[in-house]
Amino acid sequence: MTFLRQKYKIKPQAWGPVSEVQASLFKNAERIGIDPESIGFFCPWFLNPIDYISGDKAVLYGSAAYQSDDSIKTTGNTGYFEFPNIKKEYFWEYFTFTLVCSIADINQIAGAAVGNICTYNSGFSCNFEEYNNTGKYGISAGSVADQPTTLSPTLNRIQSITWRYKDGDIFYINENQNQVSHSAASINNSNVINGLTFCAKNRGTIYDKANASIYFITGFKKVLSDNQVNFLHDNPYQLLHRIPPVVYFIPITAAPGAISLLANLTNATATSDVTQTIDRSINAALANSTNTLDVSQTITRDLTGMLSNATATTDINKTIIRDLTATLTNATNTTDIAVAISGMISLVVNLTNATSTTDITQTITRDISANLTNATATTDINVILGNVISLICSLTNQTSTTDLNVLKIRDLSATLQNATSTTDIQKTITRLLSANLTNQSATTDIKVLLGALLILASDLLSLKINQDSLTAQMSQDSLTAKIDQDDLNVTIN
Amino acid sequence: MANEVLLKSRARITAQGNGTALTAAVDPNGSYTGDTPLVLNNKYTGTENCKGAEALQLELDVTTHAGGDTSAEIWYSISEDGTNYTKWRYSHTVGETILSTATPRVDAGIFSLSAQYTKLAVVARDVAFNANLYATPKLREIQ
Repeated sequence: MTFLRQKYKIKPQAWGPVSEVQASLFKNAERIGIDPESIGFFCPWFLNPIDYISGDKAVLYGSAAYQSDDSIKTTGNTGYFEFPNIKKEYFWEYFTFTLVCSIADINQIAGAAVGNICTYNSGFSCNFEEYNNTGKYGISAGSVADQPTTLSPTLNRIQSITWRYKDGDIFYINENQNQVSHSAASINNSNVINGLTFCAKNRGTIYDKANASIYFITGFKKVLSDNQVNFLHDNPYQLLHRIPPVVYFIPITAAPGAISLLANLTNATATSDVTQTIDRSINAALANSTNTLDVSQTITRDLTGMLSNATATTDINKTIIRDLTATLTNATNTTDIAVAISGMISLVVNLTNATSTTDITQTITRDISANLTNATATTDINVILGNVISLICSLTNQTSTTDLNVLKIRDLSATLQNATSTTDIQKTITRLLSANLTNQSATTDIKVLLGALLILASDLLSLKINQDSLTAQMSQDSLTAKIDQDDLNVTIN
Repeated sequence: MANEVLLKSRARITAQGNGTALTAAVDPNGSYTGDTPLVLNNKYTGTENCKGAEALQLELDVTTHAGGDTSAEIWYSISEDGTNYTKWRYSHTVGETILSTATPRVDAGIFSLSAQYTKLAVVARDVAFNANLYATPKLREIQ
């Protein structure tokens, strides 16, 4: 025998609205193979006994009364209740009724009927009733009235009983699922009257009242199969359980970050919101990166964003320095450094072509570019970058052309100290010289620079240079003081 | 860990207060007395009190009950725009009789939510009483 879950033996709490109850009722019926259209009567709760199919409400008579356990109870064989407007067509040729009830043991009155279905004024009715003052209950039908079987339910116990009618045959199944059948006369449909009566017989007049408590009634406009009836015996409240709609909510913490970013951007109402969201997303991307390439890509994108938003040269310088520092700090091998530097070079190229930056910035970036392009070893790169950073820091704080010149010569000195080949030295000097000349505004300045640099270059090319001599030359406070007009003319000629 | 579908509860709401006695046998479409029902907002855009719940678990806390057994009914009115509400309709009857002079707190059943805005009201069927109607929104969530 099919058995679903224990809770289907327990009456569920009341719920609504009515339309939702109907929806669940029909779905539950389909689940066990019962056509929802066949349900003709459904009364689950008796503190307000309403048929959920027709809306008809029960009328109570005599001792019939609502009970706090959500039932209607009759006592003293003096009460009954009926649903007067249930259409007679629903239950006259084929039907099945299931009743959850408790039958009192004082009902040893001949013919006392707990349920009376399909009745008309003279003769026929289909009843579940007491048998011949024996205390046993069974079924009766039609003109062959009061001939129930001797198969009896247990008294004073809540149980599910079912009786079916089809073409003059009536079947009764008790709580033990024992089944008997009983032949009866056919119904003359033209005489059948509307309505259902419980705890009494109704043939136009009321008689044979019974004592019982009724908890739940379901009427089907067809004959259910044995399996269906037995299932409902095992699970009497299966039809009454609520089927909630299928709606799921996915918490935001379980979703990919992209969903969060998209949601935040969608809800942004100001440019500042968008900027904050992107910044946080970048931070999240860095936190989740698994290799150096991810980090570099993220930094490059972030840097591009910041440069685009820069409004002053100072901003650009700071951005470059911080980005370079961050990239090198996170590098773990030469390849990482090369990748980072490559990204920087691209950046520098872009900056070189910019039209909104100052001449100083252009000079700085070109200098960086030249040095990096010609470097041949990782050590060189690191040293050059370090020097460039120092230069940038110094330049940022300078206020006059003279200061700038002095600083560039010092930078040249540092660069040369770390050079490892003659070619490097030559290229460095030549390019730096070119840069310096580009920025001069007076002939005197140009001459001074050329003189100093040519002397220096001459010394270096002759391999006479050493650490001490270079330092001594470059540490002089004023190169201009050691050069006169004659020297300069001779050298140029 | 595999995802689980859990029944989640939102904060309990006082759907109707107990300041005014519920006159017996008068539904909210008539000369009804009782506290003004709170709007139960089931939208999902901000700080709504139901916020996407599928049902309300109801509790009826009877605070004053002069006498006589009575049942209580839950009625509802819905709206999709928060302005135009339907007539009040019967939902279900509280599944426990409130016995004479008793002031119990009883399970008032479940109300399935389907509209964006809902109001619930209690109807005293046989005898007047004062009661709070509490509603706890329930929804299923994957975690």
